[in-house]
Amino acid sequence: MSLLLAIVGFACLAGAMNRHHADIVGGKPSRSRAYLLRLAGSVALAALLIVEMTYDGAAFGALLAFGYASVGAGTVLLTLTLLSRLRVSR
Amino acid sequence: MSAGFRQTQASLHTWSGLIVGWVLYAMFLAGTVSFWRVEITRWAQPEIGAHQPARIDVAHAQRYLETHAAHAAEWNIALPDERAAGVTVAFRDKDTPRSAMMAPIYLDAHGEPVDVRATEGGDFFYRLHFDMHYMPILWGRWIAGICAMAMLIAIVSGVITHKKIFADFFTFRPRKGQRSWLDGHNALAVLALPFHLMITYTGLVTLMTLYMPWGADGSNGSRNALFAEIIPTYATPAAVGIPTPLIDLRLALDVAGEVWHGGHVATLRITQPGDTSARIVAERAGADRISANQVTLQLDGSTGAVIASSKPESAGVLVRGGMIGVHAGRFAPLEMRWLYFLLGVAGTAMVATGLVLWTVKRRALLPDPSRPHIGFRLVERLNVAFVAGMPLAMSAFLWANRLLPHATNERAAWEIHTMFIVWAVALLQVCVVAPRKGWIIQFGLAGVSLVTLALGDVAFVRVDFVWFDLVVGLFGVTCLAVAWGIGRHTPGSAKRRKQHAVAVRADREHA
Repeated sequence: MSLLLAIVGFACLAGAMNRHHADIVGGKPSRSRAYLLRLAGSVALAALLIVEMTYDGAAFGALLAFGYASVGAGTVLLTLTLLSRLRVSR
Repeated sequence: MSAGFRQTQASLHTWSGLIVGWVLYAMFLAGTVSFWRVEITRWAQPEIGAHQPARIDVAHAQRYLETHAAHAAEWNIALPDERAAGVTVAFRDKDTPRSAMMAPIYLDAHGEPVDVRATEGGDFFYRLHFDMHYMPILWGRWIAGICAMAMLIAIVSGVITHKKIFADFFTFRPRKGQRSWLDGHNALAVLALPFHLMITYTGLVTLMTLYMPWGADGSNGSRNALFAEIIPTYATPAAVGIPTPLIDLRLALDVAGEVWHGGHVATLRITQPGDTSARIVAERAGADRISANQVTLQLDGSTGAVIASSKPESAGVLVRGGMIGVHAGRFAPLEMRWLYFLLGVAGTAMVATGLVLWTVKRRALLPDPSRPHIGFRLVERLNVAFVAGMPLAMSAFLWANRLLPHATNERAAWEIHTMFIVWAVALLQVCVVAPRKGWIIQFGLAGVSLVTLALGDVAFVRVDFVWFDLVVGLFGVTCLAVAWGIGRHTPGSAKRRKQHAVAVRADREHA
């Protein structure tokens, strides 16, 4: 659940960036779409922190949230790399 | 931010990272596997069976000690936490001095003593992480401290140097030579930045009274006085000679659990067992809380009543204990332990890619890439001997654990010697072969060694700890994949490289 929130959060943030949007969807994201994605990403990451700190306590929760954030961002990076390679080889 | 400032930070980053890079890599790798310190020890001692409830362990320990050491002056019982197995007991006779405690005896699931192989297990990697080896502990700790400080400098200057920290956040462009190495180094550093900062800073805090003793010396007169106040000690009355049976030690677990609101006991120390003046000191398990400070409780050995307990931590002591706790992760349940481990792997890979990047970046600028200068050769070869040689050497430690005969003299020490011998051979090997060949051979050997170790363990030794072997095997496969990747990679021809070098230098002069 936490990992999912982290992945969704960072995937949205990546989608709002020109380079990755072009890689995956094609073309630049429109301003409103970039704004929405950035908002959704931030909300997901904030939710990750809140959920963790609520269920596991402030100290444990914060540690877990940062850990999941790093692993989630890494997952997004690997997925993006893989996807753009698949597109290139096609 | 001016370009000049960023340039100075880039140099600072390069050199603070390179000079201590190899020791940092060793510290990162040893520290990362130390998150499984207990599991490694358990793997290294297959004689000890499965984990069982503390109440059964403590009853076995008491029965054994009452039979074999009824008149001892002191008993020690160490209970395994949930990750470990096997209770250990030790005792000291009335005539032996306090410091000369007997070697601990392992009890199996039936309470019978087991003849376990002598090994340092995971404790070896844990101590290697900050004490080094073959040198006085204090030297090792100073070296660790200097390297950690350089690491902190490298992290901060690295963030400043990184031109597009947000634009390149999710970027990895494979198969583009230097670009890919830089992308990889950046990704490993930036995505796990909270962990890297935390682990480096708190690492320095763990030994802060060594590195900066003045505060501790000044506050209570001396460092020892300060620690005497932080670490609780209790008065232990002398034996009075009136035999009184010791309480059932399961009761001590219950009492401690109640006082600590469901906390667990890690060790029990019983003085003058069987006498009216018997005292029990229970220490709380590190897995119970983040703060690494000791929490203890003293009970009356004949009634089980609470006599005294450690004071609540002051704010300062709690902050220090909390930071040490967050660094060592002893509290971490399995889920968080995996996060710690994965991020530790990222940190290790960050240091490794940084070291390789130094050579990749400079190779193009060499006047003659086929005959690099001595400094370049040194870095290139040390990279192989550490980045690939250390995993190979660590696998040799595990092999020695499985193959050295039980009765070997100084067996535990020889496991460690084996590791350093293999490491030394790896260093010698890369002095005589080309670095590229060294990378392939050493990573290949490390991979084969780890995979066969895992398979052999499952086939011949034990099947009750398969996940550990699975992780070892996965690392072996990763090493093999790296070796294969390097083998498949064809470096650009010397001519092309020379052209590139000329072009790059022309670019620089132009700029």
